[in-house]
Formats: sequence, C-alpha cells, structure tokens
Amino acid sequence: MQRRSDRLGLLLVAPAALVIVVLVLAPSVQSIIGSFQRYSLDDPSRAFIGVRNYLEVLTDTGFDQALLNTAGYFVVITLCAFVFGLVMALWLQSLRGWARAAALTVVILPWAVPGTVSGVLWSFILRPTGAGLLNSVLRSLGLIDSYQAWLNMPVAGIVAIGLTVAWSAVPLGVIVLLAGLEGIPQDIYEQSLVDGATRMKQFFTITLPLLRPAIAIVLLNAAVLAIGLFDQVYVLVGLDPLKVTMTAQIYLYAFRDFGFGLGFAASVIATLVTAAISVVYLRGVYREEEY
Amino acid sequence: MQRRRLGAGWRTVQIVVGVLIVLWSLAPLYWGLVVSLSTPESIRIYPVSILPAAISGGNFARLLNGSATSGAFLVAAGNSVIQAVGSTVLTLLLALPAAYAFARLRFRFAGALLAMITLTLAVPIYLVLIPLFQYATAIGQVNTQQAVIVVLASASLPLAIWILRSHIVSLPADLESAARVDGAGTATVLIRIIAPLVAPGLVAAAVVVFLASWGAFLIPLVYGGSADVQPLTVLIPTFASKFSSDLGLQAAAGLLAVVPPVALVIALQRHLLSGLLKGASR
Repeated sequence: MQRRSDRLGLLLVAPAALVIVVLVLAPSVQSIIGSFQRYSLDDPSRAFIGVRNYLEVLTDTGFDQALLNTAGYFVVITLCAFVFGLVMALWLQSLRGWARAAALTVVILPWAVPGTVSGVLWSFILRPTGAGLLNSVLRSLGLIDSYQAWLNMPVAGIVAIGLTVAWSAVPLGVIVLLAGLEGIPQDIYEQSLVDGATRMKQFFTITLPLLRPAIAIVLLNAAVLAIGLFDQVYVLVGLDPLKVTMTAQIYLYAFRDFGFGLGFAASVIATLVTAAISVVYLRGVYREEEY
Repeated sequence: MQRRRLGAGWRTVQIVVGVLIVLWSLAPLYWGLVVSLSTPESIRIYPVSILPAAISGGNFARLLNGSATSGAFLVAAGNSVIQAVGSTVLTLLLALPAAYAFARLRFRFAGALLAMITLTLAVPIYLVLIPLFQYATAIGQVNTQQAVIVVLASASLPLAIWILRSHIVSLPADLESAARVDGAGTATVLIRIIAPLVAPGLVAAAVVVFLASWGAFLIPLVYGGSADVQPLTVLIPTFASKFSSDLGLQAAAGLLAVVPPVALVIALQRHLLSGLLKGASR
C-alpha cells in the first residue's frame, strides 16, 4: 500500500519536478560553475580561472555604476512600496461595501499593466516637451520656470524611474498588507481603547508590530523587483549608463558582448545580493508578535 | 480601530488620501488615453489640456487595421495571446497534480521535493537566462513560441504549485474519501472533485501566471525576439524610436496591450483576491 502511494505521489509530482530540475535548478548550477570559467565568444575554452570573472565584473566601472543605480532604485521602490502600500491598505480598510470593492479595483489596476507599457505611459507624464503632464502642471502652478528633463538628471531621474516602478509594484503589496490588517483580531483594538489608547498609539503599538510578517513580504518583493529591474528603465531611458540596472548589465555582458563568463559572475552576484537582503528581512522583520 | 466611527478630522483625511490614491493609480492610464485620442498638434502646446482637445480614434484604427506597422502590431498581439495563454495552461497542467500530491498524499521524498520547489521560488530569472539560451540554441529552439512558453511556465510554476497547494490543503478530505469508497480513481478524484472545489485557487493562480506572462519582457526578448515571434511587450518599446514623434500611436499601442489583462483583473477581481489571500494566509 505504501509503495503504491509512493508511486502515485511521485507520478503526479514528476512532470513539475522535471521541469523545475531541467529549467531552473540545472541552469542555476551551470551559471555558478560558468562564473568560474573563462567563457566568451573568442575564447570558449571554459578553462577554470577561479574568481577572475568576479574581479573583472566588480572592477568594471559599468557594473559598479549599475550596482549604484540599482541601489538607488532599491531605496525608492522599497520606501514607496512600504509607505504607499500601507497608506492604501489602511484607506481600503476604512471603506465599506461597494466603495471598498470599487476602490480595490482601482488600486490593483496598475498590477495588470505590463512593465514596458507602464514605461511608455509614464514617459508621457515625465517628458520634457509637449505632452509632459508633470512639467505642464508644475509650470502652471509656478513651481518651475521651464520644462525639466527629469529622466536625464542623475538623482531625480533615478527617483522618477523608481516611482514608475513603484506604481506597478504597490498593488501586490496592498493585497498582502490588507490581508494582514484583516487578520488582526478586533478585540485587541477594543481592549486598548478601554485602556485609553489613541488612534496613533494603536497604530504604533498594535497595527505595525502585528503586520510584521506582511511587511517582510512587501519589503522582500520590493527588493527582488528592484534587483531584477530591466523593462521600465529600458523603455524610459534606454541603456543610459547612469540609469542602467544590474539585470540590464547581465544582459549586456551576455547578449551584446557575448562574455558569458562575465554574465554568469554578474548574475551570481545579483542573486547573492538578493539572498543576503532576504535573510536580513526574514530574520529581522518577519517575526510573529505574541499578543 | 477602523470599526470605530470616524470623526470629522479623520473623515477629511480619508477623502483627501482617497483622492490622491485614485489620482496616482489612474493618472498614467488616463493621460495615455488623452494622448492616444489627441491629434499630434494639440499635445505640443503649453499648457497641455487635461481633456483631449479633439477626440480621434485614428491611432487605434491605424494599429488595428495594420496600416501603421504593416501588420506587425497584429502579429505581436497574436503572439502575446499565444504565449500568455499557452504558458498559463501549461503551468496549471503541471502544477495541479503536483499541488494535489503535496497536499494530500504521503510519499517518499515528498518533503525534499517540496523544499526544492519552495527554494526555486527564490531563483531569479537572470540567474538562468544564459544557460537556458544555450540549451535553446543547442536544440534549435531560439525564436520559437514554444521556447518562450516553456520558459515562462517554468518561471511561474513554483508559485502556482504553492498557491494551489494551500487551497487543496484547506479543502475537507471527506468528499474525496467518499468518492474513493465509491471506487473512483485518482484521476477522477482530481478532475471531478478537487478541480471544481479548488476553482478559486485555480482562478487566482491562472490570473497571476497570465499577468506575469503577458507582461514579461526579458524572457520573450531573449527566447523570442524575432519579428514573427515577439509579443507586444517587446514590440512596443521599439515604437519610441520608430515613431518617436508619433506619441498618439505609442499611447494607443500601449493601451491596446493593456486591455486583456485589465479586463481580466476587473472581471475576476473578487475571485482573484479571495484566492490570493487564502494563499497568502497559509
């Protein structure tokens, strides 16, 4: 009986497991191995060269700039995903009935918009000429004297692009945070009310601590998104070295320069950065609070 | 705290914040619509008009009758449908049996296999991008629909298994045992009993996979970048240089590419959220 159940279980899992082994695990291992090999179009010898690819990537000014740019996107996207996500989730929770259903639909709509299309739509708002809605509005309000090329600025450009990415990323965070809010037992609030707590105090002593697991997921999602970012940046500013992301740099190494070894090393570095951030979040933020 | 009646001050905050949230969420889509309906002249002047000066559907017509792009837009739209639907169906066909086995059956290596699949949730696409390209080259499958579909499915599979498994775990086991007593086999149980009961989970998983596949850029760019295979997400960025002064056409193309996923999210919103939240809470 146990053996029959073994066979059945393995049979049902086998197709999915096979796909994951062949298309996810095997290539991951191959990337790690390849990162220690000399491997390019003009020298496909695959000789073992230790950490030379890593040294070359880390001393490449293009990659260092991409790392810095990605750090900038990471900060902007993380802040927006957390703050906007939380504000929207609290707002949705304060609504009832049809208003809430309608508001929820509006809030999650950006999630359905592909990254490249979001880039195109935001380019109309941010552009320095004609249809640039932001420039037009700011100038009408007297906040700027002339149209600004936001996307070409070093820091403002990163912030602007980060905001457009956050536009796509916030909805998923709202869903997770709203589920977290709904999961907080109501009597905790009632008890603290009896104890004379204000709304603000309740927020910091009850809501935020009990939301920790949901917040960890939102932060993690923002980090994964920032480090894997490519499409929106590509549409908004192309391959501008001052805006390019780590993932774009991996793509350039492999598919423009055919330096597969460097591409492997860069992709392993990006994965390690993501893994390190995940560990910090899961250890530091994802704690169930006892009440 | 929200169950308490809101005071006048909080009421104002609720309304102001609400207006800002709706503006933030809809402004890019709305402005894209204005640009797509405007004539090129009317959106060059300052200050821009928040309403379209003269409404013209010409940009949409030029894309849909193929005249603006000599048909490339329609080909790409077809490719988007083939790749997104194909990868969604493939992912669910692979994920449902696996999710059922993990949720209900006790078998050797179950724990190890589930751990392996959970681990791959964390594998980013850029880590496997180059080796998969080499595989595809080796078997002559670069720039084919099937290459894009299979890679998209492999990217979504771990999440789909995870969502479906948490749904099946929460189903009562009695129905299945009753069916088994009546002599039903596993296939029958899976198709007749589990699939209908787990419908909300299937809808949620299907929408998540569809949205990810429809919106994918890097995967179709690398495995299906040629003109006959590229989906809308790969074609539309090329408009920025090809039709650089024709903003209306760019906007119309972007909005048309948004119609299927947005329609899906609006139509299935309720199932989608209940399905996802159940997955998230477990």
